[in-house]
Amino acid sequence: MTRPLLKVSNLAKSFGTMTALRDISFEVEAGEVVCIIGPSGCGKSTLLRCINYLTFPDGGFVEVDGTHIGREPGRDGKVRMQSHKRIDQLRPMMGFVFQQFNLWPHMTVLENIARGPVKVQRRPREEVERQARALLARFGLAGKEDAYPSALSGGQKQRVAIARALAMEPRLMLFDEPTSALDPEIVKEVLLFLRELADSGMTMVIVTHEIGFARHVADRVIFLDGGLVAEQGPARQVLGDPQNPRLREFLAQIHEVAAPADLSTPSH
Amino acid sequence: MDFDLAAFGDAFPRLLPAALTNLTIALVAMTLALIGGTVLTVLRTTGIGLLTGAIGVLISFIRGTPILVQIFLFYYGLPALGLDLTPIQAGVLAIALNSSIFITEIMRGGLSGMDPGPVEAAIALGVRARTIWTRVILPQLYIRILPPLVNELTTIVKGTALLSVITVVEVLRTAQQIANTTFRPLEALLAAAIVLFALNLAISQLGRRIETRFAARRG
Repeated sequence: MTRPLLKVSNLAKSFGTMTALRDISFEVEAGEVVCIIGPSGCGKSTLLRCINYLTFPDGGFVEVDGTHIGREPGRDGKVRMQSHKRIDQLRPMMGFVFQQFNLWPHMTVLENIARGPVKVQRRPREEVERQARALLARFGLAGKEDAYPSALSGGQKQRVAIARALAMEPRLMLFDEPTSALDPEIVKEVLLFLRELADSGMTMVIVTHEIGFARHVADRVIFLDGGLVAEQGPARQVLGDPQNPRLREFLAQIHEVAAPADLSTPSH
Repeated sequence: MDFDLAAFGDAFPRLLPAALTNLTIALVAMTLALIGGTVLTVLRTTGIGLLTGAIGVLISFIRGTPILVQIFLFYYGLPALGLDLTPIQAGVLAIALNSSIFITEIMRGGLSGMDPGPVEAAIALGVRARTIWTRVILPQLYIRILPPLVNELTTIVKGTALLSVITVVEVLRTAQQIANTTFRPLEALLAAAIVLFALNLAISQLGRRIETRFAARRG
């Protein structure tokens, strides 16, 4: 049996008296694209942030390719928390893309992409810059190397943010509502781009409201509700024939609000 | 009005060399104050109760007492503690401490309004906390607080004139000396004011230039 690339087991997180995640377990195979959907406040973003320890979970485990990050079970059965240094070392295995892009405003586009590999991974600057330029060219951003983020459109910023994460050569990518802060006409541009990334074989976990995108790009869909995995399975099954009544209600509401972005051209 | 233009003009050749003293004191004090203000700001975010408490007391003391009194305290107090300082050294330290406090308050205000997103992005890439301070938070913070920071730096220049009270021979004291021999205090003091104003004008112009230059890098 092959080992899953990402294994989340019994993840739990509370903020004071508010329980965001009750008990979340799922696995992601290498090359798989998993979309996490659910009503706002269901814990989607918290889940993603707990996976790379931007938010520290209260319970449960996260393993990337068999390596625990953060909470770790010891031989004696007791749970041990890794040092911040160790967690910092492990985080680059997962690229994280934020809803608000979170580029560094005081650095040029090229620096935004090159800083991580040079500073954190101590790779030679020359090689990193070559890779960064190649990523920019691939993302349709050639010529923007020396621009500052304030001069870019939302869609361009998000592509730079994705390039910044990819430059660290992560094992998988986590996307936290990557299109929610974008103008409607730019959403499709970024979604097509994500689809291309998925087609290139990147393992991706995407928190999204774009059901159309999930339908066409995701291998699997996880529906979160009340801090639990309420339903999960192949995208077509979960979105086409939902069993959970809350999921049915959720999908019906979404379809009323907006027609899904048309990404149906080439089939996945 | 009885204004002696010749006496006014004659004051400048003596005031300009004295202005070098003010400028040197100001530059050293600014450097120390920027370092001090930054260190205090970082220390205040550690959340160590005793430390932030002590800094809080220091801040309210410095903000609640006149800088003139602080300068006297340094001038008479530090030698009493066994530190053998020249008047200029004591004065520089007094101004630097005073300004550190105001700069850390400016920085705290700037921090509280800053978007935490870029910091989270750095954390997610595995950047260590120290590097996040030096490469992500502080550069953005300095760009953000540039206008009030320049204002504080001009306050430092004005503060250098106060060192005349602890025998530092700078612009104001030189003007007083001129007045003592010419009996024309108004002319000498007006010339002194113009010299100090010119220094501050240069600083605020420089600040404006830097601001324009870094405008694109603001978040």
